[in-house]
Amino acid sequence: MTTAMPLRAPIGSRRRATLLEVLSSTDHKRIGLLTMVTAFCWFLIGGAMAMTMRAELAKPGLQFLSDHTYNELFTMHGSTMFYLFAVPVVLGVGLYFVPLQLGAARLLWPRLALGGYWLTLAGGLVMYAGFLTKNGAPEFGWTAFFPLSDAGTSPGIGPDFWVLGVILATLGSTLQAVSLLGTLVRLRAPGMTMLRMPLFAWSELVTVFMVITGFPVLLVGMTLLYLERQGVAIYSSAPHGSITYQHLFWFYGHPVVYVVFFPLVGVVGETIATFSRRRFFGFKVTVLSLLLFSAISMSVWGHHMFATNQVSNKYFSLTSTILLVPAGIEYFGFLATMAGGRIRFASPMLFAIGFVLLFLIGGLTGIMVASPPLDYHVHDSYFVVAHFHYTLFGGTVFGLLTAIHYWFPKATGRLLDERWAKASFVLIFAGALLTFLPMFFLGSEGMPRRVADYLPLHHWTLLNTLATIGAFTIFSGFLAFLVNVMRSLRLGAPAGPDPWQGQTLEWATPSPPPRHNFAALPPVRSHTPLFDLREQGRDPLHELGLRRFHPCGPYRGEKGGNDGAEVPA
Amino acid sequence: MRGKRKPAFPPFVVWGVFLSVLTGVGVVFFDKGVEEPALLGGAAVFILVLAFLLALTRRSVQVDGGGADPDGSPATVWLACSIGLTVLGAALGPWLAFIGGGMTIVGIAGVARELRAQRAAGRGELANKGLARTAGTHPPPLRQAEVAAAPRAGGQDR
Repeated sequence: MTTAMPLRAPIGSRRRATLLEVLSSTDHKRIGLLTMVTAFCWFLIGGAMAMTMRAELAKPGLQFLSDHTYNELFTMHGSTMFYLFAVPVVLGVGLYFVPLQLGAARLLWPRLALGGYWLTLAGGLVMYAGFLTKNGAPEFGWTAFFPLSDAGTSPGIGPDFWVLGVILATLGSTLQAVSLLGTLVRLRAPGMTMLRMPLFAWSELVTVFMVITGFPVLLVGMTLLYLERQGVAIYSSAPHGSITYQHLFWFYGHPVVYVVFFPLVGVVGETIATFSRRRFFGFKVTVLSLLLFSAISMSVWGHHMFATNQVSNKYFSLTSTILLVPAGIEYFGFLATMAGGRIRFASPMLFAIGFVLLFLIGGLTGIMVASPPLDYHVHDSYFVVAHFHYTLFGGTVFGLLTAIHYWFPKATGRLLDERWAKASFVLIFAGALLTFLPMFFLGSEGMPRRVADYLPLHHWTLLNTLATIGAFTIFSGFLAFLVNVMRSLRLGAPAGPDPWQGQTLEWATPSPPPRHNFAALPPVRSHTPLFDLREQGRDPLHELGLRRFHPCGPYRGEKGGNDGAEVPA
Repeated sequence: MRGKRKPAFPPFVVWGVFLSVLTGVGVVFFDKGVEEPALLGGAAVFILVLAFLLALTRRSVQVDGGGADPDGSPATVWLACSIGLTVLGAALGPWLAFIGGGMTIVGIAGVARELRAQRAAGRGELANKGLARTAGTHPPPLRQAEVAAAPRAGGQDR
């Protein structure tokens, strides 16, 4: 009995792709890889800035950086991590894997995704061009609060570059999100109703909702800021112009924290389900909680402005606290899936558990700062720095590392080395705790954020030294990770189409997937079509004809790639 | 080819309703200016309008991924870079904005040419005209009928 649709079209040639073809490809996998690799390069640059700042703060009075340079660094560190790394990378993961999970052959509107990539890259380059100007890069932080960011307080062309760069990068990300949305709406496989989409696809859908509603507001806010800097009185002529700017910024600025988090919730959920060898517990409730979570997270931006006393504190405190409910549902789903499963502690699972633990600390301290009285106490202190680094590093970076370790075999055809992966996990996890836990104590003792030096009060020196040691531990963990990636790209064991016994459609195609992804699709009757087959005692790879595929090499069309063609085993 | 209708608008509606409820609750609390209800309510209206448009079009799922996307689109890269230059011209001077603007026009023309070639390829008109490479390759046409004939795996929705 036939369960799979046969291949009817040639998949591609064995000719090695030229650089121009790679850089202008409309293949969603190439766009996704370009976006992810570029974002990761920005992450390394932003990380180097963080290391420099942590070295400066290791002891009071070091001052090997000037105050001006330090301010430039924290501004560009935050800007890089948000605008150029976190947002693009989660969209890049979506561009690569959403069509695969949907059983689609392509992206809808691939030119939007491709153009979006180039706009984001152009935005980053323009932003960094500020370093080449006379007054250097801006010093006003990644938030560019008005009037700190006006032409009088922040003169020079560097801040102008920054504003234009943010506009370009945000426009690029928005275009990529629109392409993803169209794909999710229009290009699902036969049988794949919305509720049969995998968890990761759902998490990308809610992410895209937030992008298309939040990001245009930032585009407006930044355009107005640029005009203001050119002498058009906009914020400065409004009765509460600085507050209006903050509303426009934070209506983007808070949801963006969830934009860079939700897709990775989906990745972690799928990883936990796969490595627990069971379906995700409470899938439909979790999907509903994702929708609720994302909607509520659109309504909490005002908690960043509690200290201004110009927002409705009661409302924003209420909504910020209610976030606990959907977040709790998702955590319950993670734990219940593991509780009933036979867990394999492979590296993707370890990073997923790291995500769950670290984000829990960030989430719980988020509830603290959702209370205005507590927020007044820790506002602009290192407590807030610790809180959002637990959410962003614990959530986004650990989620991304989960995604990389989970999907690296699919994208490259090779397995990462488990020993290196586990070593990098231990270093990065321990480093994250050592770096960010002391910041809670520093913040509650009153150490302000965004300072290049501090007095040797209380235990500040010890705590800062610990944080710096932790930062370098993270750095060594990423070195191990990079070594593992480089080594495995050449020497990694062949992965085959489905090394983890995955549950979703991306595992129903060779690794790396051919140009149009699928030679055949299994019937889709749930969000876990491959798991369904296995549950019936059937072998999905055999039924899809994938057992005949020799384990794959690098990307199709490049040296060593198998083009998705059949190769004798 | 198209599969049976599987509407995609319900998540939009659910999300829009959630935002509307949050805006409604906010009306009780909002007392510090118009920005709060305007931003949140605006997002709710936007997403509900999107849901309405999706429901109106009632587009079904494309089974085969459809169309003949080009393998590459250099014109798109050109266009994006020229938009970047145009925007940068705002800071560096009109000369760059003009250059970028001119490049943008060329880029738009290039994308239009690609789209025209793509549509023609979709009609099978370019098979021997040398533009087939621009038009790219068709994805494998997966037939829905075979899927419908396949045995039910897993029995039902989980």
